[in-house]
Order: sequence, then structure tokens, then C-alpha cells
Amino acid sequence: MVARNVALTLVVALMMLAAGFGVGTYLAGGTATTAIITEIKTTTVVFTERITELTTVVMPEARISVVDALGREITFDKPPTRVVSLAPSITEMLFALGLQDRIVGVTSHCNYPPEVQQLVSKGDITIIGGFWTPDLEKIVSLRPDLVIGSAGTPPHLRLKESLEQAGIKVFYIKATAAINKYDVYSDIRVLAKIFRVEIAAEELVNRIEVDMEFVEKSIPKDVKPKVLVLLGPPAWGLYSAGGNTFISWLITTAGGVNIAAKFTGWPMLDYEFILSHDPDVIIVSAMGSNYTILSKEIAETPLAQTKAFKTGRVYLVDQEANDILVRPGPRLGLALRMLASILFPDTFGEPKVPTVYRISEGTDSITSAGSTIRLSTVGTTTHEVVTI
Amino acid sequence: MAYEVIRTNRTRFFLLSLMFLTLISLLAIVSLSIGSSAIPPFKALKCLLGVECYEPVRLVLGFRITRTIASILVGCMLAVAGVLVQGITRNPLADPFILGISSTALATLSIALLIDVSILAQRQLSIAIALGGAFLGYILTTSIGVLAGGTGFSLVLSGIAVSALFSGVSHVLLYILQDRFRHPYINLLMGSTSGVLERDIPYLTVPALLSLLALYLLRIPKALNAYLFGEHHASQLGYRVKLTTITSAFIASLLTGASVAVVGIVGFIGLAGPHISRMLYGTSDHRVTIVLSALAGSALAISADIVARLITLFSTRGELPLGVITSIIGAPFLAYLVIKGGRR
Repeated sequence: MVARNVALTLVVALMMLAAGFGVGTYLAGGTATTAIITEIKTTTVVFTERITELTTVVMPEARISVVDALGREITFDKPPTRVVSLAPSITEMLFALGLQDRIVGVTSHCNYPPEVQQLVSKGDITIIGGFWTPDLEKIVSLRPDLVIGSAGTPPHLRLKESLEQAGIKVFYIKATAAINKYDVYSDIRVLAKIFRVEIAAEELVNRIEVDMEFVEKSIPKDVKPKVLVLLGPPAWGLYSAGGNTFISWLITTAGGVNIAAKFTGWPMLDYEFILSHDPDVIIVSAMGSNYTILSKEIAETPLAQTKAFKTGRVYLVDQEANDILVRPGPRLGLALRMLASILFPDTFGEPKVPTVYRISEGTDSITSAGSTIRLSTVGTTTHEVVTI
Repeated sequence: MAYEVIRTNRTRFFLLSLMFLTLISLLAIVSLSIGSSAIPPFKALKCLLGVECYEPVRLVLGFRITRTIASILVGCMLAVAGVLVQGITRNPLADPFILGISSTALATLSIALLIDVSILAQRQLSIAIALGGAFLGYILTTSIGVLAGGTGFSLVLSGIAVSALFSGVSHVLLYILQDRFRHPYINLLMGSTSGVLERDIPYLTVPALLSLLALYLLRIPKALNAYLFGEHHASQLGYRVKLTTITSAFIASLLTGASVAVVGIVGFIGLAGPHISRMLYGTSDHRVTIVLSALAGSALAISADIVARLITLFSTRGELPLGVITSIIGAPFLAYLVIKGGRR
């Protein structure tokens, strides 16, 4: 009897452990995935063109079908004329391809190029909600013939069924799911295919490529600064960017090493991890919080013990600078240049983008360009924002 | 005492406490010797014992000590809060969050963030705001509960109403916030000790000590023992039912609110800690189970924290929230106890 009891409890305990382990590994997202993805050169987008031989010549607006980022084959009889963009990076791409007159709806976060906001205030383009919160009714009421969403954004994917039900074509490009320049290029080329502006796309890709090469060839090869990216103030939680993210790829390309590269997605770190990797550069996304308060807070956390803080290389990025860094779009070259100047200010000079701030200790003024937040001494309450 | 149920057994109590204390000390040593940095465990132990200590090890050890203390305290606080809430409501399914404290804390913090985003950057201020929110939640729940008669039952129902209302409100607010931050912010108040700083620890120790002191000074454990047989019975024995209910709820709210404000929402401990202690001890004498629950909760929280850090070491994900891990670790043990208890 006792033996049976023990056996039974053992069995139940083992089963629950197994179940628990299962749930755990499920939540952990699989244990044995490769940690670092540096460059993936395969493009997954396949073009299939079904053009009958004769019509190719006489009809430029032939029926084409394009495979989107979800692997669906979508057919276009003619280039769409009323387009809704669900992500800022998509809007940037459409503008860069010269397709602004086709756009009827953008998100409230679409702020680049500045023309977008002019067109919105003129009433030519309507805001269809936020990037994370697109409004189905507003989209439908615009009667678009194409909605372009990001395959990396769950709220966009959730719109698929309802938009299709309303008879509106929805096409997904990688957009925020892009993790390197090849993804961005393939996004641009796919869009160009739909709108039949392939030549403009090749020009755009070439331009970005030239921009990037210009930066890349000057990047010092002998030192590789260790970089920590923090999404938001440390008080919010130490969320960083894993190795399979766009920003991590940018850091690697700009000649740095992302200390959180062994993780995937947006991992939460702890101070022990950060301190033991002792980053040379810290980039904090300020998320609109007051820079002086944020700098003071950072000075009071263990981040102040890092080499980055001690040598005055903690950077706050906000608004425009933050947008450039997190949007895989036509401003790729600019993003790389900005990161390169954050990582190697001696070679590239201080960042030129006005919303990059450097936190620095000591009262000695910084002579290079850019804005600096000076902490007169660590721990004191007087901080000032100095724009030079 | 005339009742079988609350017969005390000193030897068992001391044995169990000793067992838990040993377990917690062992876990604490493990917790101090592993972490996300690649420092070998024996080096950390050497540093801890004061044999030899280099600067980076000392620094890292400081963080580990903070995390360990925070998890021990949070486990202890949530489990005690759980005993109190289960005691006054006489409901074995009650957990400390049933009083609606966590959702009001979350809602208050979201409102504050909507007003000024910079609060996001100030940890102390956000802790204070969350604590304030928890306190408001307590006041709201208690006033509705008192209007409804002041019994444990009415308190639970009003707690459910308050938490339903405010979790709805806070989700609306978070929805707006997530749009403003351009990031999906589902993680607000998700339980984790990874960001706890040394200077946050007083926010845990002070409420914990005050509450334990108040509990035993006000003789609440004895009153709760009488509650086991119903509120009528308790008032016949001369206990002031309403007052005890409200005071216990206040202490539970203080404990829960402080731990939510500093660490975030950690589930399961408040529910399972009391059950584990009752089943191990064999009776529901609150004078004993409060202490044992505190110990069981601490052991559970500290092991969850260790697992959270181990996962960081061996997977490509960052840290997981504590609440997920507490249930994975604690549930098999609880199931074992349930089976054993059921057979007796």
C-alpha cells in the first residue's frame, strides 16, 4: 500500500514536472536555436511572372503575381492607386520610390519624410490609427485597393482576415521583421514590383548601398567596441535587442559587438550580465522622457559602473534618432553613419542627428558637435543639457 | 484550545522551520553563486566567505545579494498576505491579488505615465506611485466591502469588482501608452527581480517588518483561528470581526502592494505558500502557519529566481517573469502534498 502511494505520487510528480518543463521550454521559445545571426544572404521573396508572350510588349500593365512575406501569392491586374501603409518604414519606402501620390492612409507614427505630415494636414492622406493600433474601420472607409502591413507586427497580421473579408487586398512585407539590409532591399524590390517602378527601386537600393559602403570602408577594423542597447529607461526594465534584430545587425555592421547578441528578440537582462560584459558604449532609447531626469537616473544605477559611463559614452537617442535606428527602411545609410559616429567618434565625428545626446561626467566642455548632457559630478543633482 | 484542528505541535513546528531555514540557506548559497556573468561559482563563494575577492566579483556579488534578498522578502510577504486573505475569506482559492491591489497599482502607474512619461525613468518615483495605487485599491475595496456588511465574503466580492474594473481600465491605458511609446508594453509590473537596486530593498523590509510586528501585536493569528469556524463563532468568542477583517486586509494589502511596487506581480506564491505550510504542519493554526508560509514562500521565490537566471544562461531568451516559474516549480510539490493529504 505504501509502495503504491509512493509510486503514484512519484508518477504524478514526474508528469507534472514533464508538463512544467514542456511549458517552460515552450515559453523559452525553444532552447537550442542558434544564437548569433550575422548576415543572411538569401532573399525569400520569389517573383513569379505570368505574362503571355504577346501582351508583354503591348501592355505595360500586365497581370502580375507577387509572393508576400507570409508566402501568399497575390495577383495584381494593374498597379494599385489607393494604398494604405501600416508602418512608418513602409511609408518611408513608398515615398523613396516616388509613390506618394498613391498613398491615402498612414499611421500616426509616420513622420518621415516631412512631406507626410504636410499631406496629412492638407487632407490628402488620412491617419488610420497608430502603428500598433491600426483602425479597421478607418482603413475600410478609405476604400484602398491595397493595404501594406508589416509581417513582424502582430496587430497587422490580425487585420488580414477582416480586410480580405471587406474585399481589400492586403500585402505583407518584412518591414519591422527585417534583420539586415538584404531584407530591406527585398522589401523595396517587392514594392517596386507591385507598382512597376523597378528602375526607381534599383536606383534607391544602389544609393543606400553606396551610402553604406562609404561608411563601412572607413570603419576601424582593429577595435570592436562592446555595445549595450537599452529599449527605454533602465527603471522600466533592462530590455535589450537580441542578435536577430535589425539594430543588432546595424551594430555589427558599424564595427561594434552587441553584448546581448546571444539572445533572440527583445530579451530582459540583469545588471550582473551588463556589468560582467562591461560595455564600451551604451545606447539608451529615451522614449520621450526628460533627458536630464533620465541621465540622473542612469548615473544612480549600476550602469554608472560601466566603462561606457566612466568614459562618457552613454548616448540617449530619442525621436528622430530613435526612428532612424529602429526603422529598417531607406534611411539605412543614415542609421549606419549615426551608429558609426557613436561607436567611433574619432573617425566619424560626433553624431549629426540632433536627437542624439551624450551623457558625460565632469565640467569640461565637449568641443565636438552634437548635444551633451553634462553631469557636473556623479551623484549631485545639478545636471544641464548643453547643446553645442 | 478545545479544538482538534488547532492543536499545536511544537516539535513539528521547530523541525519544519529548521528544515525550511536550511533549505533557504542552501538555496541562498546557490543563488549567490550562479548568475548571468561567467564568474565561476567557487570564485563567488570564495568572495562570499571573504577568502579572496577581486573587484568585479565583489560588484557582481553585490547584485546577486540584492536579488536574493529581494526574492526572499517578496516570497515571504506574498505568502503571509496569502494566509491572511485566505483566513479572513475562509476561501482556499483566495490569493493576495484578489483584493484588487495589483490592478489599481497598475492603473495608477499607467495614469501617471500618461501624464508624464519621465516617470518611466525614475524608479523610486514609480515604486512610490505603485504603492500609492495599491493603497487606493485597498481603501476602495474595503469601503465597498464595509458597505456590503464588512464580512470576509463581501470583501472578496468587492475585491473582485475592483480588480475587474481596474484591470480593464489599466489595459485601456496601456493600450494608449503602447501607442505613445511605439513599443508593445505588455510588460509593466511583470514580476522580476532583475532590475531591483540596493536602495529599493527598504521598500520591502520596512513593510515586511511592520506587518509581522502588527500581526502578532494585534493577535490576529488567534482571531483568524476563531474565524475558521465562521464569523458568528468568532464574534461569540469576543473577537471584533469587522475590525479584524479590515486590519488583516490592510496588512495583506501593504505586503502585496510593496512587493508589486518593487518587483511586480508574482503569482502562485500567495496561493500555494499557505497551502504548503498547512499541509506540512497538518493543521491550520495561524500562529504557526503564518511563520511557515513565510518560509515556504521565500523558498519558492528564491528557487524561481534561480531558475530564471539559469534560463538566461542556457537559452537564447532573456529572463522569464518570476510568476511563470513559481507555478512550474511549486505546482508539482503542491500536487504531491494534496495527494498525500487526501490519503490521510
